[in-house]
Amino acid sequence: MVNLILIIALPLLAAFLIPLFNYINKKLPSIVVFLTTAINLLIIILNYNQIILEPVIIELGNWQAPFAINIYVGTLELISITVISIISLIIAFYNLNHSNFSSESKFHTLYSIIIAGIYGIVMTGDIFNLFVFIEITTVAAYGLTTFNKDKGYEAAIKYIIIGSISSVFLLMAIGFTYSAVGSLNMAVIAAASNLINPGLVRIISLLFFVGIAFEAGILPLSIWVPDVHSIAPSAVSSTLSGLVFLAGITALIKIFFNLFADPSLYVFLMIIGAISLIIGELIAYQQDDIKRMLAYSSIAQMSLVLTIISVGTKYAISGGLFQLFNHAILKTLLFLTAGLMIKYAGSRNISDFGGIAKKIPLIAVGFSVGSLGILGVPFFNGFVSKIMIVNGSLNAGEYILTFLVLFATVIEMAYYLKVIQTIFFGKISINPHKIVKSYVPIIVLITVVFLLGIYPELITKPLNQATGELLSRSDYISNVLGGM
Amino acid sequence: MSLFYYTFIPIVIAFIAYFLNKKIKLSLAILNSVVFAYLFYQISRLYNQWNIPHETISYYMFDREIQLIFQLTPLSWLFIFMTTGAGLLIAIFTIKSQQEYVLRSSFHLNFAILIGSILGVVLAGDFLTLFIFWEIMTWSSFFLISSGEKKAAQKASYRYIILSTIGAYLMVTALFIIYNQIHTFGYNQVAAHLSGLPITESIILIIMLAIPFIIKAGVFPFHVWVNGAHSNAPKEFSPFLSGLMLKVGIYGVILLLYFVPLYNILKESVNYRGLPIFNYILAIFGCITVITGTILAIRQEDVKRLVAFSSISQMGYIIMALAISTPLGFTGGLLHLMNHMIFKTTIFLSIAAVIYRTKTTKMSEMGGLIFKMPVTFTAYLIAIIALAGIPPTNGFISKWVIYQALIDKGYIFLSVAAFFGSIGSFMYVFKPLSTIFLGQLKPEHENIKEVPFLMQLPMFVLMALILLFGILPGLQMNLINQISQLLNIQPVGFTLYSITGAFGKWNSLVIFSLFVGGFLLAFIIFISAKKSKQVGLMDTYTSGEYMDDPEAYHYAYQYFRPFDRVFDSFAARSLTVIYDTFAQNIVKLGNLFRKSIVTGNGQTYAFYMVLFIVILAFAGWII
Amino acid sequence: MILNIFGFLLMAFSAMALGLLFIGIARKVVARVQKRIGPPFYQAYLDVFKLFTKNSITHGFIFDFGAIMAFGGMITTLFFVPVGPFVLYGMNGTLLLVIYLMAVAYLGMAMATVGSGNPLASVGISRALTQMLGYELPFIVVLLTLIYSSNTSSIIGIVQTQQSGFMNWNLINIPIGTAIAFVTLLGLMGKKPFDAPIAPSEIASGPVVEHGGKYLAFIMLQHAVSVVVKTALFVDLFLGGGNNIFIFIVKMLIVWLLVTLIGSIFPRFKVEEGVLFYWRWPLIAALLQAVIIIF
Repeated sequence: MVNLILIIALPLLAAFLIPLFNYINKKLPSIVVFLTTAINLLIIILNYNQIILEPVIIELGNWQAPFAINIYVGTLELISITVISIISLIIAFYNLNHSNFSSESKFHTLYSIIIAGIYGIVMTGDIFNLFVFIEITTVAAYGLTTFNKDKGYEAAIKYIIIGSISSVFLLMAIGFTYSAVGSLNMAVIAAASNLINPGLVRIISLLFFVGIAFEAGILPLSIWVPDVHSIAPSAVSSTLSGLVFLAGITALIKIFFNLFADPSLYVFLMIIGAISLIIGELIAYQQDDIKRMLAYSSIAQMSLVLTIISVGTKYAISGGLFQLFNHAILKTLLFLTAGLMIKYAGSRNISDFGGIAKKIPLIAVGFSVGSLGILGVPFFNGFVSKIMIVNGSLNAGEYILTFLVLFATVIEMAYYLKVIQTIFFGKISINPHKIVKSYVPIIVLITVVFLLGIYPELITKPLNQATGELLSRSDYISNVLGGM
Repeated sequence: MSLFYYTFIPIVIAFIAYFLNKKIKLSLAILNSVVFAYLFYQISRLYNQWNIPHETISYYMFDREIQLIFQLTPLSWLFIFMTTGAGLLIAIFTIKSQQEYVLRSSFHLNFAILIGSILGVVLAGDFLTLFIFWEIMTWSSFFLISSGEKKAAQKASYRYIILSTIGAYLMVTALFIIYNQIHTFGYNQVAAHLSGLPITESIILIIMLAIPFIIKAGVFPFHVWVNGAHSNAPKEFSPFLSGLMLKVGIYGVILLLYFVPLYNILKESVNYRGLPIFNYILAIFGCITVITGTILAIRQEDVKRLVAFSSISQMGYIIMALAISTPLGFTGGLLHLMNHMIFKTTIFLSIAAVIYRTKTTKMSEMGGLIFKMPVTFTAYLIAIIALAGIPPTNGFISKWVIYQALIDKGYIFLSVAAFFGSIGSFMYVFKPLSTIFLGQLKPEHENIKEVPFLMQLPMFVLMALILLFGILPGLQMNLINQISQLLNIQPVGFTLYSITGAFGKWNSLVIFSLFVGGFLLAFIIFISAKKSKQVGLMDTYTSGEYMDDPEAYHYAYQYFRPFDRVFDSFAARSLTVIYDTFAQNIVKLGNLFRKSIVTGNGQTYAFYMVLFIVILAFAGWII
Repeated sequence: MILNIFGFLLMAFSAMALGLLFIGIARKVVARVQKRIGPPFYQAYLDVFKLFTKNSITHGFIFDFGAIMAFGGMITTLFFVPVGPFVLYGMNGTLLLVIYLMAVAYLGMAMATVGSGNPLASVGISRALTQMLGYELPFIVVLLTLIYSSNTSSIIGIVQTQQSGFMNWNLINIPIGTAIAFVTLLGLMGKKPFDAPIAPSEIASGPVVEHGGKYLAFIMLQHAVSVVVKTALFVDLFLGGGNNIFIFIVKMLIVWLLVTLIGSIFPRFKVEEGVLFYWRWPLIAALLQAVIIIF
């Protein structure tokens, strides 16, 4: 039973030691990162069964809650960190040889830091700690964005502006909470949330929403996403789109379901999510730059997840969570293959991708598998999550929402199919550049997609448990505080 | 062999063979043919074994056990038999016909998946299985249509899949609304539940369930995808598209109306002359489809588009016959379904053979091919005789039964439309006959030979079937009566070569023998006269001028111009424009959002954030 | 069996003979209308025999096959139409069958003509098909009304419903229908004003432009049999048939004379005008009739 804190500590340690390793050998940093992610996965696998039985709480420094910072890993967090570790492993593998920046140690340092930050956001049980990890993630992301010399700076500046404003709001929210409750521990706040003035609760929740939704992909707070995700290198885009969003939404869910469970707020979340979904899809259709298109698609998917989860019933939440995890896997696949296609074609525009599937078949197939997964074709993982979403929203009687979700899917189909048709059936119009073909990440991801599509029970059983935990706040509170 | 394997064998073999095909060129086509032949054989052995138990696969989802059920009924047997039969014939045809076709391997991969998914759709015993395989079918046919050689293939397949998916999503919404009330997907349970709901609610749900099938069948007003898909699909896929894919939509309509059976629910609703209003509207749509398809078919210059419109109008016939819900109507509809598959596949195969040799689909660029491709011509001739509904082919029998059904109930407008379609079909089938096969031979086509034997083989088989079923309709009626019994419809009387209609019996053996007698007489008189001298095609009456250029003497372009002039204004207002405008408006909306929200300016973004908070605060979050 | 074949042959040849006679009579009548003397009434026989003795050219297999198919189809049609008390096979459901079998003959002739390679022939056929769509529509409506009101789709059945006296003739029961059917008959026969397909001065007789010798003889024979078939059909459906063969022939002659007389005084419709004409008043009248009968 290995201590879970290592999951956060190891990458941080590796990050700070990388300059030393770089001095020894140029290739060493990427290998170190790879090894770190592999060890993380190993730790999680070792602890898996135990966490399924009962959530694990670790108090740092052996101080007891509610005074200490604690780490809480319940079923929801467990599935999240499993997915995060698998994907970060794949991306680290990709970074070994195939990324443009394999030999830049700064890249790997920042990458390690962002991974540590993501784990921290998911696993923490203390809101100021949450703030710290969000800041770590964001700052590392600022750095990672600038690796593209052309427009990286401009995108990073926009990101910084919005990020800073959100951090201010987040800090205000934390301040208000502390002054009202007297503790920073999430469980304590949850227990005390009934006693706070309801008006104050609403102000705090709005501030929290603004603070975290920026990291979670909801328009108009995530207006920086298209610029940043399209400019960043593909490994970074997949991390940001897949994993950072995953962490952000998880944090939002914990705040709105565990901390301040106010059902009247869910309507707001639903409406915001729905508007963001439709706008995101419609704008995505307009794009000719493939990475911008994928970025808008990410925004739309995250808004979809938020909308569905805010319906609040058991079926809806499990459907939304499953969609969240699927999205992480699929978006990684999409960004990796899109990056390879851009390198091959020498251009970012979809109209230049004509017919390249004949030359780089596996990469094109990878992209298609990713798109078909997001669209929800049977036997892909997206199908199961999509019907769970439809079931969830119809179960709660939200007919208009179902209609909007399906309408958004039709528009999604329009723009993904545009790309698929161009790459498979178009005419070749560009001179191909040489690229290093990386097959292993793509094959692994495709296998995961089909595995989840044919045996969704792998995730749905833990998901049901996670949903149950989310909906019962009292269990959460008693787990953390009762273990005194 | 388990029913489940019928669905999965083609799909799995397809993937294996795809990789094999990289090494050995023709292996995919041949492997497909072998697999389909095997499946066909197994399916023909399944005939009459209607008591095979259901097979289920269990999934744990939505907190419950969900069962995916597979079952075999006479109705499904008919469809799987037709599917594998058509697949086998087309696979044999493609062994030779795709020499220069670049996307050959993806064609066969998708074709095998498509066949597997259609088998899944038809063998499904509950709605969820149906939906899963329906989606796979839509996607594989999308890829198949996209792999056509023309540039317009992309747009056509795009339109097809978006329209199809909208229909499928309507169905899935209705399905889950029902599921949330009864927690199961089986056909009988859904029907029982729907009959318990208040009438308006159940009618809305029924319409939502029926729309994807009607879209797939290409009935007005959803026929806009059919002609684009047919004319731009690869030439070997058009026979299958016309022959089978449109029919799977009809299978869905039969399933809903009779098998489930939702007809009982509809009977409770408003009735018009004894027919529920929903059925009557469906029949009217079928009627409009027949007329529209016929008129538009006559105008076409491209032979594949012409036959595509003809398919649309024949689907209208079948829908009309099924919608009027009488035993004769049902029998006529099913008969026409089977017969249409046979003769439409023949027409498309012969056209594919012509395209294979001449590399063009415009009728005005061809001519006089009868001397070079006699087998193809014979196949086409017999098929169009069947299409126009002339005895002694099977087309006449099915049309005759449909007429009997319509006249019996006194539906004047429907019968008039049916006849109009029939006479009009005479016009549009004659057009390719005279412009492609008869008339003057173009000098660049001097060296065209007949198509290889492997391509002729399917045509021979189909021709034989047309004549066989024309003389002995009892073979088909046997199966159809079993289906009628399954669906609690009164069976129609028949013997091996006669069918009992509402106003009389039809005896095909007598007709056929009289036909032979008449021909014999004419032949004898002909032979006994003097032998005539054979002259070339260019040697015709030209009022004293010299003919030296065959191109100028081939009357092909705008063959029916006077008729088209009557309908010019009608054909100009096409339904496609309405759909396109709707889509463009949505795109414009997106453009509007993009220009107003994504300004690229960091300060504006910050402003948006603050604005967002202010709006939320005042909208009720805080106040 | 032998008796059947004998009856079969007798019927075919007597129909040919009768038809040729009718054609001869028609030519005489038209000539008299136009203040000429005209050929003798047995001229058609002479024409046919002469044509059979001439040499002819052919344009290939389809030309021959089409000619045989046309003639054979028309003879087959003959067997289903009751001529007087004689009908070779009076089974049920023959009305629709007859309509379609006429189409076989049509198709055969169409194939033969287009197979000749002469564009004038193709133009003629295109016009003929267009016009067929025109006149079939009101005709079908009237036929449907007939079937519905007599409750049978066999021609013999329809004849039998009119047996009991003059007042039962469909002429009296379905008057508008009869009138419309008569107008359609003009189109069926290809008489003016609906003879754009033949159009001697425009397209050099259209479909028959390449036929000579025995082919032209076949066409003439086919035309003769079709005259018999169509007039007999009309008489059976609307004028009560006839138990007596001679009364039947007299009725046929009356119909034929009426058709010829009307056909000899009108100019020609353009083909789309013909179609539109048929779809306007005749169609509306026929639908009106149908509505009256059915409801």
